[in-house]
Amino acid sequence: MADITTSTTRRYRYTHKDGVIVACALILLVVGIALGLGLSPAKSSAEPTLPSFSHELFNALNNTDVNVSPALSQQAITGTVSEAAAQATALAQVRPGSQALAAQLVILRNAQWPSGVLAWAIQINEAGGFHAPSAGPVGNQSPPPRNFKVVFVQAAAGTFLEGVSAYDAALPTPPSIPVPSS
Amino acid sequence: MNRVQRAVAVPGLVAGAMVAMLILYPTRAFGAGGGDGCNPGRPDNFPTRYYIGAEQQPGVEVGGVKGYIYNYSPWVSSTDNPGVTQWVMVTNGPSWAQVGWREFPGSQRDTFVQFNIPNERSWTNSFPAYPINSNIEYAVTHDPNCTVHCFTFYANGRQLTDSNYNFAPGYGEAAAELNTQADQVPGGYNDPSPVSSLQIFMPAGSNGSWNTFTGSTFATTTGGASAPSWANISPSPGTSPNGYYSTWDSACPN
Repeated sequence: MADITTSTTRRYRYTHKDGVIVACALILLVVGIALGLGLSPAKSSAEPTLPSFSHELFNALNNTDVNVSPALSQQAITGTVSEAAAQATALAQVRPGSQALAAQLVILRNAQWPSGVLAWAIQINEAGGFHAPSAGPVGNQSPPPRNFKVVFVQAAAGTFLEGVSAYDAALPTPPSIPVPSS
Repeated sequence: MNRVQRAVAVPGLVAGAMVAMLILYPTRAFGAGGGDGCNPGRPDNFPTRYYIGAEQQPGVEVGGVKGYIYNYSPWVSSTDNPGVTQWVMVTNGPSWAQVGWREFPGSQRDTFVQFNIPNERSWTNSFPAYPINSNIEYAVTHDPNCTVHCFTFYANGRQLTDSNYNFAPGYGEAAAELNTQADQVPGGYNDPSPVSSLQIFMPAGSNGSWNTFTGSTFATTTGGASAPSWANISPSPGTSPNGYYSTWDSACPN
């Protein structure tokens, strides 16, 4: 008959199997930290696709200092970051709590890219409303109105290029988003 | 390590990994900037604007303004959605072209360009910010004989954008702009925030050249009244900056 007392009180010896299990657990810990640091929600392809830009929004953008046209479908197939990743990059440039309204792959032409660059254009509804940063020269007390903002993200690299905001009467002003309490 | 220890250790490490993900994930989503200043502790009166800077009206068409603006990171009230800005500008009445830095609440910053001709064209650009506490040259230039590129905007020697729309600027300005007294003026009383090598191009066109910005300094609020005593500039308001001025908030040491 087995000596139960002896088998339950003997000192446990570390085995190779234990080492493997602990090593696996440590790897899980490191991977977990890496995921927390490196992944953004926008890189998930599970997020819903936003509506495309309206004709009015293209017109409004082209009344500023940039020239924007829809990308051809073959330009949009390969070598671009996901729409979700572009959204995350765009939202990181504006106040927390802001929302993305529409997204479109475009050819952006501006002073830095006169020949055009493939970019994700993300229309943003800014938390706290749209505001011109300055009311103009000293003594001016009325900042110019704004009712849209679009953030451009380089499609190949996923980096922030620029944001453009202005006012266009043909565009509806989106519902206001309160600034989240910090 | 016995089975009990193993049963605790492995899930514990896995749970630790998950907690690390949860803690680190939102930090990245909202982290921005560092902040130089302090909360001045004044009650909010948004939207009341305060301008602290310098202006020059040379009597000829202005071809540009440029200067090194310190990227100070001031306290910005959570009510100030437009944010605190500091910029150089050419202007004529309600038309203007400007470039500088902006800080939103939460230390979020960008480089901004704004162009405005009332009832004709008005827009704002935002570009990546320069590091806090860097000293960056911002410049706006004007070509009076343009068909395109009438105004061109630069930061740190890099062309940001331009405007194909035209007006004739008669003033050069450089200023910090606040939208509530709950904001902090860039700079502290022990460590003012400088604007240096400030220059104005005049007259506009091929016969012009860059000249030291003289004009006069100001610290004003709504309606052109003198700003309260917490908004400071050196040299004092009404004095020629001679290419250099610095600003600070009486409530903050640094």
